[in-house]
Amino acid sequence: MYPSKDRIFAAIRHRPVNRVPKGELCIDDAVVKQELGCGSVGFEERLEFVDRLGLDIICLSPSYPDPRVIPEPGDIVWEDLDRWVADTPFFSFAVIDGVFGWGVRTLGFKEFLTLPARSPLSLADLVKKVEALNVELSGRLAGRGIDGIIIADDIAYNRGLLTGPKIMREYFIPSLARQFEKIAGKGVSVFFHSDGNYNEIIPDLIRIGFQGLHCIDRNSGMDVFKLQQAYGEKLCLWGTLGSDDLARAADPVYFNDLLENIRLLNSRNGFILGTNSGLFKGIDLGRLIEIYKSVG
Amino acid sequence: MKDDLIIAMADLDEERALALVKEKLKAGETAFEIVEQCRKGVEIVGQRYSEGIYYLSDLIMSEEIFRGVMEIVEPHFPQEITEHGTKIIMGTIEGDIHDLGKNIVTYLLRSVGFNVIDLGVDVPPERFIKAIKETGASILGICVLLTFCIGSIKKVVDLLKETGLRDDVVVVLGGYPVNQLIKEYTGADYYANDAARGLEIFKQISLEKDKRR
Repeated sequence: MYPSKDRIFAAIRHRPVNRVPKGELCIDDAVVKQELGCGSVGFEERLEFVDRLGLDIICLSPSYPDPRVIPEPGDIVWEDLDRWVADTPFFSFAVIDGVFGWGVRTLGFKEFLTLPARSPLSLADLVKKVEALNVELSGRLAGRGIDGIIIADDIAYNRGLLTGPKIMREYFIPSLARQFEKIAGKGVSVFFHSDGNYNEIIPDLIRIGFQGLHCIDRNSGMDVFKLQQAYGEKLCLWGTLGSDDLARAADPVYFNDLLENIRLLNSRNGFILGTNSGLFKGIDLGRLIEIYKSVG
Repeated sequence: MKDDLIIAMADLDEERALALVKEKLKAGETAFEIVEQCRKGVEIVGQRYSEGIYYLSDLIMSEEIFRGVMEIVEPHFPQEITEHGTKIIMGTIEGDIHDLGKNIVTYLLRSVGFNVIDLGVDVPPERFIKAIKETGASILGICVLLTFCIGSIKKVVDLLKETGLRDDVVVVLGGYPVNQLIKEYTGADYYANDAARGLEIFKQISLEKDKRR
């Protein structure tokens, strides 16, 4: 019997697992409240929810004093991190923000995206600050026993990268490489997350050494089968379920095809099932649980 | 050289584009001529984006450069009465934040006397309807760049029908991707891919409305 943590380690190492590994990048309190019928959500409620869904991963997100200001590492709160790490069998991921996330939040979308053309020095400074924060933060998280780090940075949208590969390779990729080297050096697994279509820089992410990718959105042109064929031995692919899958799975034929595809992906190893978006209010949780239970 | 500004805009060379605009104004070119050259440059940016040469950040950069151009040329547009001209509701459809095309057309319409109520970007269908009801405007201009937002334009036209306003409001679509098929799909009345054509359409609609009064 594989405990959850071992199942995820096996998936990351592209080894066979006894059932499909599952994880959600984020779980909104409203979904937990609705499912459990509880008034507030704390550690116990989240634990019950994660158990009920049969997840193997718990993802912890930071609370910032002011999300529009890059904080000092010590000012960031990781709710119940020590309990999740010490008292539960789940693989624990900490989700940390990348340069795009901080850039958009601190400067605004337009100003951040025009920074490479208008103020490259400011961009270089921002990259340096985020990099220093993430490296320091990851060291502290590793010290507290976290199993993995996800650098979450929405560098793309459904049509492709938000900014061209030339700028990506001049500013962002080298910083990701430096972050990866230092974070992986702490002995934790390192994944990358972005929404949208980031196919164009996947070879760069592999060269850096990322062990996995989260958010494989077919509707944005990220075909999980093609990705698995091209990079399956190098990357653990996590995600693939979209809201359209949940809606269409009401049809028994689609439902069965979906299960078959998931099992096929899992049989090739290096796969974690999850939604691309995380669990937010309005999601068809009943259908998702049905998929999770049925797929084994 | 007539193409220098077009090239600077297309190459996203902000410094050169703004310097050229100032030079051209000094040399006696009209604000309209300068905006038209910038529009052509922006059109090339749009093409390069469609071909995968440019990225979203490049589109945004071109909008920003154009915004800077408009700040320079706006005082040089002939100002006509705008408060009492034909009312037009203008906005970029929900899900789309691109306002370059909308801003060009809005400037041009105001410069020839239309009273344009600009709702901005990412405008939900319901807000267009609310603005029409509140202002009594009978012309609606909807701008779009991202094709996946086309469905929301159809929703605007459907809402006009549902609220009994459809026969009183002329709907004009504007933007790089719009065409006859999209006009028919959404149920709009007219479409224009460039600002000059858009201006002509709005003038024609206004004339026809005046004749019917």
